[in-house]
Amino acid sequence: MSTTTEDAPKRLPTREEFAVELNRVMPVVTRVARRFAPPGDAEDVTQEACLAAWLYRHRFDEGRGSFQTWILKIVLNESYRTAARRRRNGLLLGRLADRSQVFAKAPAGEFDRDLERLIARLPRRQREVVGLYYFIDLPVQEVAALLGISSGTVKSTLADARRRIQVQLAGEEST
Amino acid sequence: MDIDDRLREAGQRWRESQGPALPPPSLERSGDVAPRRQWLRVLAPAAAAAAVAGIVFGIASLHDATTGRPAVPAGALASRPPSVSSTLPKPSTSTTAQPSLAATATPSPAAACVGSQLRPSLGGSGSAGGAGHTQILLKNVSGQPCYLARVFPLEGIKAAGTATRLVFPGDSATSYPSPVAPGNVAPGEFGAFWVTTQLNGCPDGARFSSLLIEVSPQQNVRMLWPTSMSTGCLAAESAAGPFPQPVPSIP
Repeated sequence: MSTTTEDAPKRLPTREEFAVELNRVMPVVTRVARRFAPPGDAEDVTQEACLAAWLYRHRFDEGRGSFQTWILKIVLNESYRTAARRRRNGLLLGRLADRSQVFAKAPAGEFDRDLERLIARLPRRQREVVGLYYFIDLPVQEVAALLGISSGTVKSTLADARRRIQVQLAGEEST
Repeated sequence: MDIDDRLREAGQRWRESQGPALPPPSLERSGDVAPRRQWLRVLAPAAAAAAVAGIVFGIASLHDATTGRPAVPAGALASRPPSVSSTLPKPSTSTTAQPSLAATATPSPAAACVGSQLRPSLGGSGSAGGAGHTQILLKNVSGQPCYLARVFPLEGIKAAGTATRLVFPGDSATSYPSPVAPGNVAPGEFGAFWVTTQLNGCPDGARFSSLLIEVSPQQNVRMLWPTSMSTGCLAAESAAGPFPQPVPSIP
């Protein structure tokens, strides 16, 4: 019986190699945690996600996407898990409340409150796509890989979100 | 202004308003988790066990005082010597460290545990950071101390009797609460190992009727299948060691 390279066990990164990769992606990991985790939980979410990535590094498959995409998925999942736990604990009223608290804490004029408020009202998938594309500044292909959808779906979701925001903005400006 | 441009500008302003990137957690210390978290994960179950022990001993002692009957420790505490149960324990540290440290700090390793010496039972289970943890307790039911250090091969047994070898993609060092210190388990004391499961993005694993632990050649021990081991997919199995674990020095 011949042994192919596929049969060989995958070599796991050493701690040093993993730390180098982690340092490389920390800016974007931080941004995703700050964007999607409940207020005040970004640091914990980041730490939990990084440790989970280290613990389960054997599950990372280069053939299925980049390390950055893989760890961002963990950060997103951890953010939603934390938000769900907070809601269960009755500490927050919901996602809208989460976001409005973020804005309330932000210094005035630092970012567009109206726009953020409208984004917070979007359905979850649209909010994710808008957040990852416009705010985290990920390319369409990476957003697609991260959410497990096609690039075409990302583009159409962005278009739907823009249309919805546009309509709501127009409605508010006319009143 | 076009909504696309407005979103781009808002995104740009938001990114500029964010502070510097958070530092990654330290991976330098032992095992695969950062020191602070690891200590929490190791000490939290020990503290909980100590608290439970304190309550049980307290109740038992009060009961003795009122009835005059000898104490009858329950469950995991059944192995404690009567002299311990007859007095109220000191808070947490005394019950956590002293009896079990005395049991596990034997300088020379005893003979390796064999199947006939150990009785398995489900310890506890929990989850953190997208991972589930199941503790399997191994009570030394023999009259001799024995040494626990290995990662035991495991099998799931269906009701029909078919056995399936459990495969763990991660090595034992990646399992909670890595690292597990090896050591002797005194008669009546407990050893333990842990099974870690991946909860996120994983379908639930197969359910079996019992778990077979290959402690030594042709000396397997068997227990009811822990349902928590079917939640998510199997990730790693720790080595077995005395439980509670000896508390290491803080670096």
